[in-house]
Amino acid sequence: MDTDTLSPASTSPLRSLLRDASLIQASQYFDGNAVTLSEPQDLRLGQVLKRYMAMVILNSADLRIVIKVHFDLEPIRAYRQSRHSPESDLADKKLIDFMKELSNQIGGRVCRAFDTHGTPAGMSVPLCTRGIYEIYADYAPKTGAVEKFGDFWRLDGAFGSIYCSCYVELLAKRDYSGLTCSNDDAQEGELDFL
Amino acid sequence: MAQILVVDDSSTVRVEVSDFLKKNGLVVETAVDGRDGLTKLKGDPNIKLVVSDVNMPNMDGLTMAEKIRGELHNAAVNIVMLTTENSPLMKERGKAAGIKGWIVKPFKGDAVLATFKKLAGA
Repeated sequence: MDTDTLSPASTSPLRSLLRDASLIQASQYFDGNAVTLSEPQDLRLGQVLKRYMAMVILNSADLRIVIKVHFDLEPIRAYRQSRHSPESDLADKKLIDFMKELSNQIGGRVCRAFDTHGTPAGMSVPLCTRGIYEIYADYAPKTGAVEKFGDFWRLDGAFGSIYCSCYVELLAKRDYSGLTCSNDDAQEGELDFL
Repeated sequence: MAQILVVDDSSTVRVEVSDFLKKNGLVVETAVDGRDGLTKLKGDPNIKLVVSDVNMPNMDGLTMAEKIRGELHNAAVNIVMLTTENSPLMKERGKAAGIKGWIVKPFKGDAVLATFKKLAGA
């Protein structure tokens, strides 16, 4: 997909943020195991990538982002089995919930980056649907008053392989050059007294 | 008769948190969203600590906290949020609702167990 017509200055930090957030969060979510990010081979953005996809929507006055995690159940079941999860946690419904929570935590990490950048965004509750519905997704880039771009990448680890995709609509021109995804593991899980 | 109420729409998180707390001797009840959380809290006066997600369907965790103080007139129960988000605006709203603490997921049980026990009166 040709996205070269969009301004790299406005889209590059967002692309990097989304990729980095998914990579860091997937590693943390899958028990700290190594995860590698790569470009999907022989696939196109918008193609059905896996049997299921979990997603969250981030929204602010300036932008709208849809983040999707594409997965198959069997590799996730095998991973959970290898971690000695009880039988009750290996049912399809539980595995789907497990992956919805991953998409929720990726979205949460992106939201925290926006908070740090001073451009807060809200997030939907995660949902999951069949991967086939990807055929209705519209990743066509736009330029003009509203810019839009799509991206997708692959994550590999002990859980097998999953794909992440996103599309981002920039509703207002903003400088995202300082936007980064920090690995703030040290603060995560700690109780912050209010 | 539970000591701690865990509220999260994700069954993965509910199981992870409640199993950890149960293994450490605490009595735990769970709820699937803020509305369910209010019902469970109303029905069990022994609950001393609510550990809740923020972003949930039907009723979010912050609204639930406000209703615990406002509608249930329960100023005694301790409330801690366990969420992926860390927005200063949300924290301000939580502070106004008398929330004691804020934890960014993932849940690291060992890091908070002693505090949870104290807040649960265990």
